[in-house]
Amino acid sequence: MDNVIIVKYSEIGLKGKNRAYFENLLVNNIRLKSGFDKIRKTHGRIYIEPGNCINTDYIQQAIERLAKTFGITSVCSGLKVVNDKKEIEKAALFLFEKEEEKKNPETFKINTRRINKRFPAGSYEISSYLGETILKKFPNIKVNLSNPDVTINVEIREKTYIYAEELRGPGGLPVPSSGKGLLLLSGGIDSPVAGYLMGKRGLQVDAIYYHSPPYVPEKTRDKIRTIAEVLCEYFGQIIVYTVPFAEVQKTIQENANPRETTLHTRAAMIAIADRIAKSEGYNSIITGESLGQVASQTPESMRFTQSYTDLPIFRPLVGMNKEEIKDIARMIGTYDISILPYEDCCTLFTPKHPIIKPNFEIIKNNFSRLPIEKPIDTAVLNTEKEVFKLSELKVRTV
Amino acid sequence: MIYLDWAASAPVYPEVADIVKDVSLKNYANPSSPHREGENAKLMLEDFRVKFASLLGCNPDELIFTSGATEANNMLLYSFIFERTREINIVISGIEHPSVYEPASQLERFGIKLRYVMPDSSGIVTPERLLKKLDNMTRLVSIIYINNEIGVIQPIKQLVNVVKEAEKRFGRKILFHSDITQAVGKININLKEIGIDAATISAHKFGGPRGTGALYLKRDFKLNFLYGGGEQENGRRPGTENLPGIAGMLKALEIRTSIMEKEYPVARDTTKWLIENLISTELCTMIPQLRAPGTNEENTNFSPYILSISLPPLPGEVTVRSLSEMGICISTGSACSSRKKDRMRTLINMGIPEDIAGSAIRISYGWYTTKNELEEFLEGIKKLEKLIPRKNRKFLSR
Repeated sequence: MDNVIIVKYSEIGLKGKNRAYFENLLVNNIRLKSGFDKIRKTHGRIYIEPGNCINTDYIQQAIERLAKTFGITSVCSGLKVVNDKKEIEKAALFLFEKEEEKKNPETFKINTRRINKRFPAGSYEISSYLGETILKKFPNIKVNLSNPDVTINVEIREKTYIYAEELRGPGGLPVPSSGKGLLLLSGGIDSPVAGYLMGKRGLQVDAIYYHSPPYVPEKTRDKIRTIAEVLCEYFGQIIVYTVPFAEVQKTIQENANPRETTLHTRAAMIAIADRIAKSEGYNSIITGESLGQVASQTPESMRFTQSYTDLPIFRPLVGMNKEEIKDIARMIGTYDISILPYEDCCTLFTPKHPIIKPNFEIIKNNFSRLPIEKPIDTAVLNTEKEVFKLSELKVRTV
Repeated sequence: MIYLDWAASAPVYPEVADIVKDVSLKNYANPSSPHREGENAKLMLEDFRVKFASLLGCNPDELIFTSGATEANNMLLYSFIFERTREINIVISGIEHPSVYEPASQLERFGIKLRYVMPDSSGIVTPERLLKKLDNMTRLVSIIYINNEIGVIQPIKQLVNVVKEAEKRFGRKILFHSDITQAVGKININLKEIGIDAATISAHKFGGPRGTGALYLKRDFKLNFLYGGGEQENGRRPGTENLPGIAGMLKALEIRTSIMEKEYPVARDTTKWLIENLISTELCTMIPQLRAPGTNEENTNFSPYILSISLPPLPGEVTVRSLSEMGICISTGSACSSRKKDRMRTLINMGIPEDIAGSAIRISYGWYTTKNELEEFLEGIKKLEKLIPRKNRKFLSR
């Protein structure tokens, strides 16, 4: 009876000739995140064998990390035994006892899949046999096939895998199968969600943050760091580029029509992101924009701001409502950090009545007349780069 | 470091620190213990109470020692939960400290009506305005003596007279409470002479230790407080008495009483000088406006230890942060990006426009502050000019 971690993935399974490429990326990410080396892939399944590691705490932490790995649809810890009725019975009972202790269930179910047809007994037969064993040991528990508190899964392949609770993963594609993208991170609720959603599509995301001291406090930068650490749990590693932005903002404020300052600021941000993306090898820019949410997020405004890059701008939240975005933010664990009340954009630079439907030619022309080139050069030059990495899994000595 | 945040917390007198240490080391017995050391501690406590009461002009049994003004304010307000009739109302000014304002708002949940008496544009609660708010169901009036944000001094005796007349007219007692935290140790206070029924005091605002304060409550008022579990302070504030803290508070008040009247005119001159210099920078607006030079008669209505100015369009927090980087400590009541009027309640209730209120800062100083330090502060203020976008400066002078 050996410990095993079972990883399921779905979408990669649909890939054709380059399926191996995607699978290898996923295996590699699993290795980096869990620290385990013995990883075996078969059809639609990846098995991790912790080998000598019997520290359940460590295994649990590794599983939680894998549940935050793009490409994985579910992950669980289970047992591997030889295809022998007695061995299977022993393992199923062992696993059930552990679940019983943890959840104190009233009902259960045995779910058997016999993929290996050479195994003599049928799946229904095995399920009833194992069910009976458990009922004998725990006479107060009932069988419930439609909505059980505990499900024991038995998969008979070349070996038999037995597992109970599965943790759901984000699914999608492993990073960086779609390359690297640069996320405009503001500290608000939306941008971390946008980064997460693009991660699901296989994009390795790094972040760019526009910092304007003393107009915004250092605390806001710390908040960005905390968000980066949370995103790190998904991406394994995140680079944060911090752009000193105060001079650019001030220049815009001093020279532009007050109603246009928000849009010019946004355009300057894209122009800076474009330069950093190109010099650091990013293939796209990601923003948390949602159509119509604020002045700079109307189609007219987006046409203007996106004209300062020829990289694709991905806006995965463009069709989402605020509540839907908040739900995802809560799920990925960035919501509580995002709502901390530190200023992300000083009121000094916020016009009361910004333009919401700029005329493309006029506003382009106005932007080109701003003496902004030098401040932008300085900002790009003085951008700081910080790398955030996932910490080593801690092994608590038992 | 230049410390101009005395209204938040003043430096402790060395003599005070000494006595706190002494009493902590020598008189550690619990004043409630029946043994000799306990009895000694009890005697000391009562001795402190007699001396403290004589400095404030009240009877010793009218003083309840607390952990500070916040606790004292909460104790007093929440005691009205025990009022049998639910129809009663309480009146507080629109410029109360949060430790009065918030418990008062909470009382509304228990059915008690809360009425605000708003100050005029100079921050004064006039007798006429107060009179209009009183009726036969009014049980409590709470008006802060010296406001913590702008330093306005209320005509407290006149306000007490208004309440006394109302008591006669309606045949019901009305408790007149005043938070005198910013007044104690700065101006002469004789509680009996002022005629208020209750007052709150905090030691660390006048050179005493933190975590010590008092609630003054006239003998005529028997209130039930929410606390239980000990007979200390006649059962009104159970919990082992903070003997070292009380010793320190008494020492601080003794020092202050001996010198405050001499210091006051000096402080007034310094303040006048500072105001003139601030106004001449052309960046600052006085709050309220009539504290500016040329309206000197009105200046008697303000504490010379607290000054509120506004540097629009710089948000108050940006000013605080920038000065902090220059080693100058001041404070603000409002938050930059937060549009919550709540944080600017005092200023908004005085009718100060939102853009001025959002840019407000508070400077508060005391006996150790030198003119050199204030000069450096003025230099600091002048340096802030470069943070203001030029166009805005023009816009300002309009």
